[in-house]
Amino acid sequence: MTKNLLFIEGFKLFKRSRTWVGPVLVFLLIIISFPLTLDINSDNPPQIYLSFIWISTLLVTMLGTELIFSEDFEDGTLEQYAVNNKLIEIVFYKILVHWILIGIPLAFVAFLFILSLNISIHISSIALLCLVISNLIFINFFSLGNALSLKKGSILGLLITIPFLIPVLIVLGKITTSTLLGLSLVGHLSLLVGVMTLVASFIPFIISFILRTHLE
Amino acid sequence: MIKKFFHQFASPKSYFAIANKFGKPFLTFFFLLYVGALVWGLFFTPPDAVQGDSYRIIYMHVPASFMAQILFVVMAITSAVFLIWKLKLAAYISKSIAPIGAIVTFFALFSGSIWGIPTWGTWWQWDARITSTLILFIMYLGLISLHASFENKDKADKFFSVLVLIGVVNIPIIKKSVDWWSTLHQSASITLTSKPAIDPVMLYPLMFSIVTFIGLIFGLVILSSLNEILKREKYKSWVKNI
Amino acid sequence: MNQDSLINILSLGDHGVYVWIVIVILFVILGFTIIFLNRKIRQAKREINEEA
Repeated sequence: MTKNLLFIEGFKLFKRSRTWVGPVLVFLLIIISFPLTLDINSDNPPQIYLSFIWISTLLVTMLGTELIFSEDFEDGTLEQYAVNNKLIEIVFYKILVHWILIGIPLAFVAFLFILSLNISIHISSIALLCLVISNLIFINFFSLGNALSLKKGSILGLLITIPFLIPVLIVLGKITTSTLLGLSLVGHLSLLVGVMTLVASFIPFIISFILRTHLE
Repeated sequence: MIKKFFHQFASPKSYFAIANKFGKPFLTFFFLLYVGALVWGLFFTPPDAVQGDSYRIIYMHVPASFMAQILFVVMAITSAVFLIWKLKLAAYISKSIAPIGAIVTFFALFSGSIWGIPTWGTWWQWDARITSTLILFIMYLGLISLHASFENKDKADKFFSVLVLIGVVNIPIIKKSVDWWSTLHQSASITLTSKPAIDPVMLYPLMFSIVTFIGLIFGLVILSSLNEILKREKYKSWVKNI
Repeated sequence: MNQDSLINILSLGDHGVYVWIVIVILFVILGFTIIFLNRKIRQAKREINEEA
């Protein structure tokens, strides 16, 4: 039964191909535009490109999770889930599915892009790992924001949840600088993984509380 | 008997009765005391060896920054009370703290910025305290607009409370992480355990101004909560008999 | 206090003007808030009494 739900949610997202192909394409276009706005001849430190990528993933995951709950809310499916006490599962699966179909492809596109800048494969693979982890965190928080602004469809919920992601961005920046300086990353990476575990375990509960309140 | 005391106090009606009577005198009292603290700090303390006279902004900036954070914590406590015990009064007080918090945080940022001009030559610096205060300000604004955007105020209360609780966890995290990222702000001159790095002549008016400012701002919170209760309990019967 | 020391105190040294700016803004903000809140409370009480 549980496995069925996961597949249903995955299939639903997959079917709405615009929802998951879109963000990846937008991301690609944005990161391609970045070198165009910089002087390609000057020696730009790789830090700048990496920070572009962190910020672009932030924005694109915000875009990609916009409709995570609204369709189900509008046609009543969400209410059915709530009545059957399956809200937490559904939230969890939706987030997981978004991560698999949007977050991870995003990380790979970014990985290829970083490689194309002639940045060493060591740094690129670390960036890949960081992106995979932080995308889950971003998707969690942006789902939270979307759950808050469910009926309005406004950007308010998202605006409120972005401050929560600032520590994550700072950790990503620290990882960038540490890699480029060749320092040990174990501390930063474990911090990131720790944050991801905490966030991914607790935020779905908060989201389901918010959804339940909306449905009352 | 204690339970009865609590239940009586926890109703908007009894809170309103007390706050209505004592709110304005409370506010006036601490307002005057704070003005006294300022007069003490402005005119009866020696100028600083390094900064000259511009350091006196400390008597306004430090109480404000302190209060900005205290208010958020108080808001988190009342939000938790609301979520756990379902007391409407707690939600009303929570909601009424937010605008006052925003104003105090704005003033903390503003006074700090003006103080930075003669002291550091710059009106802004991306270090731990300043950045996290800015984010605190944005959170206050976000909370206010969140509550305002919902028609059904009971739902608004719940969302507000949840967000405050996540926020109160986030603010120290932001502070620590920006601290980790860079640091410029003078490290704390007043800690509870170590010897303060500030001369007692200036320390005493500072402490006095902090304490009186706390009272002043809580007076404002009481006024704000009166306003909120009147707005939300408009159609209840007890309101007609004020 | 003779006139000289009074002027000295009121002008607060070379950077004293910043202190005065902050003081003025503080009291403007505080006054505004207090007056606004009082007005709102009075308005709400009036509305309730009118309806009753």
